[in-house]
Amino acid sequence: MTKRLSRVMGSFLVLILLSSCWDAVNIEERGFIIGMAIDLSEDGKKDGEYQLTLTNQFAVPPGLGTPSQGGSGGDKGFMNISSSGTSLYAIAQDLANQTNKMPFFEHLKVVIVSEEVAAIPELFANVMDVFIRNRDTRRGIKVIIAKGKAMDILNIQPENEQVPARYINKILENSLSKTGEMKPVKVGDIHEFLLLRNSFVLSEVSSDGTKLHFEGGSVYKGSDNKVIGSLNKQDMLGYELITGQAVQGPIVFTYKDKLTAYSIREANSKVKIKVTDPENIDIHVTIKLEGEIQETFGKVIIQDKGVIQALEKEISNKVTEIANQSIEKAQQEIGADIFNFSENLHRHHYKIWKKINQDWDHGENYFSKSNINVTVKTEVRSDGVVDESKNKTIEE
Amino acid sequence: MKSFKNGDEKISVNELMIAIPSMVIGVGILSLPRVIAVETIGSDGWIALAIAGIATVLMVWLMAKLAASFPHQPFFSYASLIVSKPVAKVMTFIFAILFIGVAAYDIRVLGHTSQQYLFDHTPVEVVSLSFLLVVVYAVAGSRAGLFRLNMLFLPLIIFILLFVLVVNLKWIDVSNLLPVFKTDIKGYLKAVHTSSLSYIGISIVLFYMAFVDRPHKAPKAAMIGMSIPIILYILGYLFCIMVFGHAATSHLLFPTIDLAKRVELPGAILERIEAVFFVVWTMGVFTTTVMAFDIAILALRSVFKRIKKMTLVLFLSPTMYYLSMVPNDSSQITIFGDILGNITVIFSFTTTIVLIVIAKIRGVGSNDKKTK
Repeated sequence: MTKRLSRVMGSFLVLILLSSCWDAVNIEERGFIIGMAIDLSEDGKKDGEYQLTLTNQFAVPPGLGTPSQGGSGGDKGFMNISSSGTSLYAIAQDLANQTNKMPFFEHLKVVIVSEEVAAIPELFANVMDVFIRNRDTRRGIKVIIAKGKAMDILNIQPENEQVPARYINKILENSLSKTGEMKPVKVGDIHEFLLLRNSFVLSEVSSDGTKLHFEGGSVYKGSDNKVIGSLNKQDMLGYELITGQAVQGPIVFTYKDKLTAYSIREANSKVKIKVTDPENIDIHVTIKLEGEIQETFGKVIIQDKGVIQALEKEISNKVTEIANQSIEKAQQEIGADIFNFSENLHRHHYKIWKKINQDWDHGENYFSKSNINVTVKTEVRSDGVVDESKNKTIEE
Repeated sequence: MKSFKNGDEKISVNELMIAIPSMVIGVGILSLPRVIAVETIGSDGWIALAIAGIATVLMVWLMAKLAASFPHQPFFSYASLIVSKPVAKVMTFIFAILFIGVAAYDIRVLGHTSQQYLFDHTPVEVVSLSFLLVVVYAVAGSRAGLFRLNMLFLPLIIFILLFVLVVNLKWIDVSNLLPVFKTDIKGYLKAVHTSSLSYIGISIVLFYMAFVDRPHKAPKAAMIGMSIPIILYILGYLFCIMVFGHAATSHLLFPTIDLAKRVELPGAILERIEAVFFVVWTMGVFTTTVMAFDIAILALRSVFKRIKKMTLVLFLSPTMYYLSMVPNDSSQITIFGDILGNITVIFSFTTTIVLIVIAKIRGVGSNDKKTK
């Protein structure tokens, strides 16, 4: 009898423990959030706390029909919902109540923060905290700054893609092959920068309703805890070349007064810092470029002796100029170590770094006082498939 | 309950070799890179892991050597030979209590972490209880079955861990390893101490040696077994530093999980590799908990010879469950783990050394070696 009873009890226990899951959420009931935009609410500051507006972009699967089916019938593939409040988490919960779906953050791809929010001290870091802390959000989420309202970026109506956030994500991924547009910064990177109180650059975008435009970069200064300036596209190119990001794309320069386009295939940079005492910091940046001539308005015959060398020299001069401009802007105008030289000091000159860590790009400001030299080594690999595309006599 | 008929209670040397890494790889692997990184600078943490690792390998060798000089004798009987019966009783009893603590700690951490990452609404008590029931099922059966389970699980665990590392190759930045050798002595000592806590559980050698069929080959096998987790830990640590940088690693609660989450391979299935990672981690914790439970039973039964195995299982599992629910929040769990780890390390190291020294002085055990 007891044996039978224990068997029955055992079966019930198994039934209870194995039959269902506390946390089961059917996939139809999940709201997949793929993009988020964070703005300052129109109420501005209330009771000493900034009022934020959070816009979530949900993917709406019925609108995402495959093109061949053509059955999507004008449905939008996404839905934007906004709400305001002080704590992002509270707003997100509030938004969850407005839809019939459980918000699900694991597929979140991009977070767009408006420049207003980023310019208020501490606020950007506080906003990022949610994304760093939450276990559902990945460290690979891309973060960009919006010129104007961040909400508008999520309302872009791209012609070939149904979901704006996906479109933005794709563009950010492809931007690697263009100059002046930067690698998107990810939540994980921001976590590191914020921990080390380093300065960094976020890409800045704007929209015209159907397309995304790169405006350049926003400089976040670690010691001020806010965005304090911006870089234009030219500065961004210099910044990318100096930091050795995988830049690919054209550099336009003049050779014998004619426009010529050089395309970078491979770029890398080496930073060497020579330092004896904090007052004398010499930073040598060597940029190496490899690429080919893509277009010329003049006549370039590379087979001629010395032409390649002359071209290389022109390109080097042009690039040095660009890099020096960025450096000057960073050192004098903005006063923030966007090139992350402090990390290099930390790694290679630990003792000195410990001394000047607190006064690097603020306080004593050793960064602005340091000497930065740029050397550029250019190689022109080829000039396309022809040596001459037009007859010389027409030109002259 | 009838015991498993074909389960022959002898284990091979290889099974012992596998049991050690199965025991060592447990709950600690998730937070290990952080706790090491906070004490050190740059990538120096691996040195601490290696030093503590070498010390532990040596310790394992000593334990195996000690146990092998009394072939086929359980811990209690050779300890009684060396340091009289009452002292041996106390030692065995303390070991049993420590292993009960280890099992309870593992049950709680598993419940806590799964609740954090996997089940939002399921109470931690329920997760832990379900886990404990599976553990009880495994312990109630034959001991040889446990060793076969280890043989089955460990290759999978190692494979998935290495896979997570390999797919992260895309994200590594070797320059994150700099600066090197900048930690001061104090930092190293602290880190060595912390890393030694992640190698606890090796004292299973003292107990399981009685079942090994060819004890004289065991010390070498035990050392090889012990080096597996050390290599895995060092690799995992270096990858965390290279992927996240030192600063972020020292502030991520579970860097190893984030390493698994960092993976973004084309094809949506591999975007959630942390799910697979959680599965193997649970397997790792499972083998640890089961062996800790088993040792506790083994130790108690050698002291109280008349108690049946099943009675002990039925008495110990509620005790463990109660113990595991004592800490209230994550910080108390950490304190629980730290205290337990420290006591276990100190107690098993001193016991082993004391036993070896006294055995040498009194000349016990040497006879057995000669007759072999």
